[in-house]
Amino acid sequence: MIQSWSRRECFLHTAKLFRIALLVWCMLHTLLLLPFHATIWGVDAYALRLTFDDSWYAWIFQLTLHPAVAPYYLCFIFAQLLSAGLGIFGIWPRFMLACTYILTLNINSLTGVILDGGNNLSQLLLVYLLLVNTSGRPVADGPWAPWLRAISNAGFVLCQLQVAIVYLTAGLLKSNGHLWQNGMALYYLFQSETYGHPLIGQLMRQWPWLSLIGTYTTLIFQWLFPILIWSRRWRPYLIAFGLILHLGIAFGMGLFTFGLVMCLSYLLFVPDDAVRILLASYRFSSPIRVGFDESCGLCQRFARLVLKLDWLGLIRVDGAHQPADPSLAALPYAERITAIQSFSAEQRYQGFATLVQILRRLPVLWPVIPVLLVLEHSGWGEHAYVRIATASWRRSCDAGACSLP
Amino acid sequence: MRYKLATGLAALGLAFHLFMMFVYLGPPNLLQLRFGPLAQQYMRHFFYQNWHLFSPNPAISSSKFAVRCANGEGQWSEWKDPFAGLQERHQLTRITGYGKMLMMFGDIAQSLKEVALSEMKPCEDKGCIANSAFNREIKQQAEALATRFSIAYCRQQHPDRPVQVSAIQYKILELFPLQFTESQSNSKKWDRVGEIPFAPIAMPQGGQS
Repeated sequence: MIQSWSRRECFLHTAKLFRIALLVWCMLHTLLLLPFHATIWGVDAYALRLTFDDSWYAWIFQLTLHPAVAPYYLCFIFAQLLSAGLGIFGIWPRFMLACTYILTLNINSLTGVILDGGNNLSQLLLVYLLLVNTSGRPVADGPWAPWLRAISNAGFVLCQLQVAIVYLTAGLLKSNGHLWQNGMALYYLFQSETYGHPLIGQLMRQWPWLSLIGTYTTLIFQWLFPILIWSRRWRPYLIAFGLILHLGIAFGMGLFTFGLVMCLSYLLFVPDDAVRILLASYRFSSPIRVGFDESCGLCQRFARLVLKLDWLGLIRVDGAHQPADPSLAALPYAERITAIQSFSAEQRYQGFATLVQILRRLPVLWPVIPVLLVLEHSGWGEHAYVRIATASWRRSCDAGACSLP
Repeated sequence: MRYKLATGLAALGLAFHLFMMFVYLGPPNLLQLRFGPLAQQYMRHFFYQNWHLFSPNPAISSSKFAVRCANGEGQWSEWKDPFAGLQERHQLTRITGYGKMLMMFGDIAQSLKEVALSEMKPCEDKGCIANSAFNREIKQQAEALATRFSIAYCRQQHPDRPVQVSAIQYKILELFPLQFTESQSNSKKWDRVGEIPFAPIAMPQGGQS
């Protein structure tokens, strides 16, 4: 793959998605703390603070520590939110990444004690992303194109390697700890006032085996991640386990922003093609005509719900028995009844594919699109659809004799 | 040729960065002896990183900050945990900034504890931690923060009527959980609770708020 680094951008769409995700995280981190801004970042914050050291680095990245600038910390915060917001929408992405990086470092230097591994990782990834073409558009051909492509690909691989190094280092360092060796690290973590939770702490006290299993699986995961993440076969399992682990850290231990940024870092390992399909599914969709079975209570309730949520007016509800739309009417009756049919301007969909097309057009359901795509491409969605469509309980009334409330 | 050169140089840059990272994060060894200063210089500004993440061992004990206030007649209140409410809200909803607030306040207790512990150790030479300028600076800052916070907390206890606060006092509690071998047979939550008390601080001019 390295041989093609200067010829094509191997991570074009993944890089774009990751840029959006990382900037959203930066915004969220600041927004969560904004209600307490005076206590955390203000001049009279309750935090041990470094002194401005007059170096070139401090003038750029720690300017907020300067006594004359410190009272204006809110300007840095709103500038960071603005630059991250513009970066999310793809306006001068590289410039906005650089601005967000500088402003984030300035904000973070105000209260170093609240920074955790998530902040450290986000800062590193922001630097590396400056090398990467995150615009989603390939570099135009020209004398510099091979160089720009090679740097972009190397920068992206660096992001991936950085995540692997986090696990490698943490896993190796933990191997020296006696609490990790005897399997009781999680027990003590959840008993602590800082990272514990009364409910989980109680569970660990009642069943110390939970700690043993959790501690060892965490260790094994951290050792294996840097090796197996490069295997396409093992990657989905590792990512699935990692998501459970980090959501556990986010909600169980209360390290929400750390857990979240680790989950987002897994986007770096999603194949470019899969991200391309995902991003395409969020593009503006053309109207769709759907033939709902009039004799099926479930289908009719679903049709009414769809009409309520169709804020963009992209779905035309039609019948399956007597469709008004000529394209639907042209289909054989048996096909219209056995699986839900639909037509967009471009093509025809049926079964689970129709459900995906409907949900794509309902803004409130956009967050679940990645799940739908996984279900569609794995075939599980169609399988589940057929099971439900052919189930006897689905039909609450007979054809032509159905009274709808 | 141009394509190969671009690829080769990008790969070389990547390899150099990884090597520096390896030296920087690695344990003390011959490589670190030879390239350590270069790696430190290269990594410190833009690539600083620390992945201890509860290693080698998570902290066993927790530090807690407790405050009490004396009124105009010099009567002391009960010891109170000023962050109990914050802690409760953080445990109820994780998607908030309460966790980071607790980290910030927790650091005051942690810094005071570390300074106090370093001062308790026998100091035989001039270079010991307790005597270091850095330690004195931390101590000064941590005590100033703790005092400022305690005064604000005591004054907030009765926001509806101005109350005289003649003195404040704070202490650090160190909570040690039960050993996991005793956790099922013992009903109490903490194995033992250590205390590091600090001297009472009288408010200037009677502490009129």
